[in-house]
Amino acid sequence: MPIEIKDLVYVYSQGTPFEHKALKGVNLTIPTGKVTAIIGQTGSGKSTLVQHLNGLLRPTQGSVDIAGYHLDPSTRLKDAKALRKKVGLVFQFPEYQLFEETIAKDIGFGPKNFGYTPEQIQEATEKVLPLVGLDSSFLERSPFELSGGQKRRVAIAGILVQDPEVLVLDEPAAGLDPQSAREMMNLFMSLNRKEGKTILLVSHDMEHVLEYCDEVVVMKDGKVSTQMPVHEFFKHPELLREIDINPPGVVLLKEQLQQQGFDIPLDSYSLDEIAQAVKAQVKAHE
Amino acid sequence: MEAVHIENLEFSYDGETPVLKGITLNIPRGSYTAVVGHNGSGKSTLAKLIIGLLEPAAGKIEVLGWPLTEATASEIRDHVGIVFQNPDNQFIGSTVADDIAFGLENHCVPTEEMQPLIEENAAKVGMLDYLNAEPTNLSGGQKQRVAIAGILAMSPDIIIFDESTSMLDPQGKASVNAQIRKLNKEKNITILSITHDMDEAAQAEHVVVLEKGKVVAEGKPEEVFENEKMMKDLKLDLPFALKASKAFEKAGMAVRPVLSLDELVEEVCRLK
Repeated sequence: MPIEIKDLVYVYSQGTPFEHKALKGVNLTIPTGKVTAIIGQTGSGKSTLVQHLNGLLRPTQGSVDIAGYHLDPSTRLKDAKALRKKVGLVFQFPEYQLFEETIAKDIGFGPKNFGYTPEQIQEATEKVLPLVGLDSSFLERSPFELSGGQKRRVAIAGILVQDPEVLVLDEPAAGLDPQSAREMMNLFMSLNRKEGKTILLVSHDMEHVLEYCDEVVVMKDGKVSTQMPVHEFFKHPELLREIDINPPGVVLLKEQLQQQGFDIPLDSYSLDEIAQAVKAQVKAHE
Repeated sequence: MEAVHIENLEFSYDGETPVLKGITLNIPRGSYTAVVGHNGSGKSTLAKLIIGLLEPAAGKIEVLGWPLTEATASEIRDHVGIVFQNPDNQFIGSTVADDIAFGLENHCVPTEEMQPLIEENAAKVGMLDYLNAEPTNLSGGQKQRVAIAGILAMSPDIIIFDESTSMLDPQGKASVNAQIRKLNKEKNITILSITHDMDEAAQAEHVVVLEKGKVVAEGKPEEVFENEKMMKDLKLDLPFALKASKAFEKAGMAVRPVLSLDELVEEVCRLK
C-alpha cells in the first residue's frame, strides 16, 4: 500500500498572531519499497510534511494514509506508539538527541517504551549494530565519547532497532565528511534493497538525490510542485533553478556542452559515457 | 611576514593518543588557504591551537609575527576571528545587533561608537535589514553571516572558518562562500578555511591536506588535486570539474585537467 496524502493543510499556531500556514494542500502518492527524495528550499514545508507521517503533527485539513493508519483532523491516535514503530523518523542532526549513559541504553530506549523485555532489547540491539557499522564493543561506552559520524549512527540505530517499515530521514548526511556521508547513504540503500524498507529522504544534496534516489518530490511554498522519477527530473535543470537549487555538476556539464552544440545522451549521467559521446563529435587530433 | 607560522606542532587531548604529529605550516598574509582531510584528521584541533583555545604539547605557533603563549593569546585573539560549524551554538545576542555588539562590548567600545560599527559590518554581510531580527527568525546561512559581521567589527587580520558552511542549505552555503571570497579579495583578510567541500577548496589559493595529524600534501589546488594516487589513497573526493576532465582524458581527448566547469567546457570546445 503506497503512502497517500490528500489535500493536506497544516497551520501552525492557528488563531494566534503567529498563525502560519506551512502546508497549503499537499497531494502525494509515495510508492512503497522505493527511495523518494523530498527537496525544496528552506521553509517550503518539507519538515512539516514529514512530521505528519508518524503522527507527530495532526492535519489541520486533509488526510494521510500510511502503514494501515488513516490520519485526519479528527484522528485521536490511541496507539501512536504502534504507528511510530512502523514509521521511523530521523530528525536533522539526530546526534544531538542522544542522552543516555551508554550506547546500549540509548539504542534500547525506544524498544523499552514499546514494552520489549530486556532479552528482546538486547537481541534487537545486537542485530542492528552491524547494520550501522558499529560492533558490540561500543555498547557499554558513553555516546558522548564518539565522533559526530559515530554518534549519528547510534541515533539511527535507535530508530532501526524498532524495525520500521518506513524510514523517514531529514538530511541524514548533512555535516558529515564526504566519506562518512557516502557510508551513511550506502547504509540506507542496503536497508532499501535488502530489507525492502520504504525510504523518504529530505535532502539538499542534489548529488545524493541523483545517485541514490528513485523518485523526486519538489516542495514549493507549502505545495508539491513536481513529482518525477529521478532520471527524468534531472533532464530539466530549469525545475531546480525555479526553487533556487544548483543542479548537480554532471547536469550543469551536460547543459553547457549542449549549449555549445554537442549532442549529449539525455539519459546518461555517467561522466565516462558523456566523454565518449563528446569524443565522437570532435575532430581527431594527432 | 607570515599570518601564521607553525613549526613541529604536536598535540594530544589525553596525553597519550597524539592528534597532531609534528605539523609545520606557513600561511602567508592575505592568502586564502583551505585545509581538507577526513573527520578526525586534526583539522579543527589545529584551528583551536592557532587561536590559543588549546595549548600545544610541543612545537611553536607564531601569529602575525608574535609567538603564541598564554601571555599573548588574548591579544592575538583580537586579530584572529573564528566561525564555527553550528550556527546555533555561536549566536549569543537576543537580536542581530546585540550579537554583533557582543565582541565590541567585551572590548569596552563606547556605546556611541558601537552603533555605526554594527551597521557598517551588518551591511558588509548583507544583514543590515535584519538588525532587530531574533535568531529564531533567521536561516542558518544568515546566522553564520551575522557571526562573520561580529568578527569583522573587531577588524581582524585573520579569519578561520571551521566547516562553517557544512550545516547550511545550498543557498546559505553559496552566500557564506561568496562572503569569504569577498573578504579575502577586497579586505585582504587572511582566510583559513577548514572544509570538506572540494569545490570550495578548489577556489582557494593554497590547499593543505591533513591526514592522521600530519600534513601529507600542500600547494596550489591544481598541484594538490592532481596527485591522483594520493587523493585516491586518502579516499578524498576530487573537485567535480577535475573529475570530469579526467573522464575526458580517459576517453582519449586532449583535455587539460582544470578546476572549474567553465574552463572544462572551454577545453572541450577547443577540440571541436
